[in-house]
Amino acid sequence: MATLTTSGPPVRATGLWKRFGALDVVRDVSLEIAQGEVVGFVGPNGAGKSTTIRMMLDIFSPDRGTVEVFGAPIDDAARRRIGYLPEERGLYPGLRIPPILKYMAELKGVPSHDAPELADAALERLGLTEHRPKKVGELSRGLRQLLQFAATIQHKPDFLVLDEPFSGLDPVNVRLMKNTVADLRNDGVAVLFSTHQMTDVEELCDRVVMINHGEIVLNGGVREIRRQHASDRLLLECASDMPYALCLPGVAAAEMHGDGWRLSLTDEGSAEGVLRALLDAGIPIERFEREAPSLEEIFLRIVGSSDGNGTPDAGTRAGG
Amino acid sequence: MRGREPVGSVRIVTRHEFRTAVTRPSYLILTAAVPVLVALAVAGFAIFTLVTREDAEAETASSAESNAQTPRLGYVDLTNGPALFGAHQEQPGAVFVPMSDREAGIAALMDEQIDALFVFPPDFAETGTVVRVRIADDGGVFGPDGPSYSGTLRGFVLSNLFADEVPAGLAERLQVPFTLVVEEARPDGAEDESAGFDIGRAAFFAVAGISLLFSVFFSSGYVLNALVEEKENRVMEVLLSSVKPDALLLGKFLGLGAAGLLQMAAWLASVGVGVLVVGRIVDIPADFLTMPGVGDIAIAAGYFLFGYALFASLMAAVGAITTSLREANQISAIVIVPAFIPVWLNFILFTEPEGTVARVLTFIPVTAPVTGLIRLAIDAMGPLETVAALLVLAASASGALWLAMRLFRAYLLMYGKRPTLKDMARSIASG
Repeated sequence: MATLTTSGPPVRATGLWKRFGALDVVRDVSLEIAQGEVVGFVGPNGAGKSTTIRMMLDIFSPDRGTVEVFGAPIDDAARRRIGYLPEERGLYPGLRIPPILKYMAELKGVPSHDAPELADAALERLGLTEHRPKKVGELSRGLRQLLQFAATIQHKPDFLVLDEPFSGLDPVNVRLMKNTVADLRNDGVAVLFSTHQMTDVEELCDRVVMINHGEIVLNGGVREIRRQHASDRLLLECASDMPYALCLPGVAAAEMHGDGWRLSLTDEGSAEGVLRALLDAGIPIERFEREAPSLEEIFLRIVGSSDGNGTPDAGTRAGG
Repeated sequence: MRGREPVGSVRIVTRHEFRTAVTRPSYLILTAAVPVLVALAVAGFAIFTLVTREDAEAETASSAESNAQTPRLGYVDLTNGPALFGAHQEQPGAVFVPMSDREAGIAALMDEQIDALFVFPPDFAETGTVVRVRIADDGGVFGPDGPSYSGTLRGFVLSNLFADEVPAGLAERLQVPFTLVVEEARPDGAEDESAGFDIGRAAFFAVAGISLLFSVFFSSGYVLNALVEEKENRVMEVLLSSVKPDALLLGKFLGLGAAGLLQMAAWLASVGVGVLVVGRIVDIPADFLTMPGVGDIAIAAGYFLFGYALFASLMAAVGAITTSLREANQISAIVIVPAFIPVWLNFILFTEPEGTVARVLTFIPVTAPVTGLIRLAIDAMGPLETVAALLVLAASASGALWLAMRLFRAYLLMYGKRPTLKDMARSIASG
């Protein structure tokens, strides 16, 4: 990867607003992604994810707000530094792989004579070399998806946008793509990763941005958010039975949880107080932690608190 | 990726669309179909001509053998008074042989000493009647008596009656009194070098009109299909992350237009070669095969390019608002059908080429190209009207392109549902 010569972050969106018909699909969304950062962009269907992405890529013009890519309004030069794998994706089924990759590369500013070499490198990286002579229509769905990913990264973008990149892939290819994304991040590429799979976000992302009803409702580091949404419950596993768990100071209730116990604290109780009491009692502790919700639980909690299920896409456009 | 020189997106899209289009089997088959058909037609024509020519030569040879000398036409002059037909017996293509009476003539005819027998009755001067005597049961008009010899007989009669009465040099006019030639005079008194109906120019504009109709079907149809296929294949959004919609549309216009025009050129070239070959075979007059003038080529090119731009833009608009190829093809009829109105109304255009209907159709964008070319083919459009019509067409094409780009930007990523007219009006207004 060449040394980056940016004068600003890979993307900075400020106050984006988009209305379709009578519905504000995106409302005052601001988002910035740093070099080498992987940001998970999550939200229910119709929340405004795809519309926001399209505005960030200048596919849609925002009704209000601004987008800067590498410190300037997006232009042809900036567009060439972006790789985009949309949720609604496809390639020309009647064409063979090399001319498609060449076309996609040329559109990204790759000189015609360099395109085949870059395409071959991307195919090799994703294990597609043996399929090179084939037509797209001859590939399985999963291989087509890998090919699209190859087309997205072959020109070595500095800012990568992936919208549901793993849907339809088998676990082996999911792992291959995840490793590739991790490599790209290590090379300094900024990645915006839109998905419904919270486990993927927890695994890949440095930060998560949640959007609901067109508004950002959550924005922060993955661990930080989980910590913020941590409950007042403790998970405890001991080498011996704990018939007197309820008697611990600061514990309001105890229930069996797996091989141990889940303790609910009183208003005055604290994890430190419970731990000290356990140690004072000489209880052999194998596991002691504050129960932190998964991102999925946080997602469901936030979305559920607003409308239970999220709203379906009000427009006719693909994605959210 | 930095460090690369920006390459024109329009050029890249144009090249891709052109290459993709011209390498499709359907395109290659369709492009080759016309030259193959022309070659077959020319070959068939050549074979037919060769066979008929050999038959004619064989017949001529046979006739020459059976009639070793110039046909001899017997005649009996029974007219009152001095003999009317005593001279000018040698006429082009035949010799008139006097017979003493009808019976002697019939005997000579039956003995095949003469090829035909004509009797000038006593009242010929009053009635003009000439009796041709034929042998009964001879097989009809084209039996042993052969041709009618009416032209030769006419020359014989006129020569004997009037040749000595007219001044020398005018005798030919007895045979062919006049040849009518039409010339046109301009109201302003200027000389018109192209006076009269120019068949070569008419053929040129007629071919241009037919080609334009084909281009409506094919070239602009390629634009429609390409757009809808990319929507159906979901390629569009990938492309739009790399290239602006206007550049994408323009690249498609140019690439697919070039593919269509190449196809058209191949067809026209094959037809042209076919005409030249047929011209060699049947000796078509050279005037038919001359090149049109620069002005005519410019006018035809203007109609062709503006016409293509108009219809391709309208097709692009259809492609932008539809969601499937089937639906797009159905709706495209709204664009295609009006282009054929001038063809359906051709009887009006030919009978009243400068009438109200013709003039109105000349200025309605979707009917203008074909109407204009038809009227130019029959020389019914003046220079001012031609320029005005081309300007209107160019403005319409620009408007259609603007409209297509607005709809293209608004509905390219719309899948599954067609927008209402209200939606489209709002999108066009808002841009």
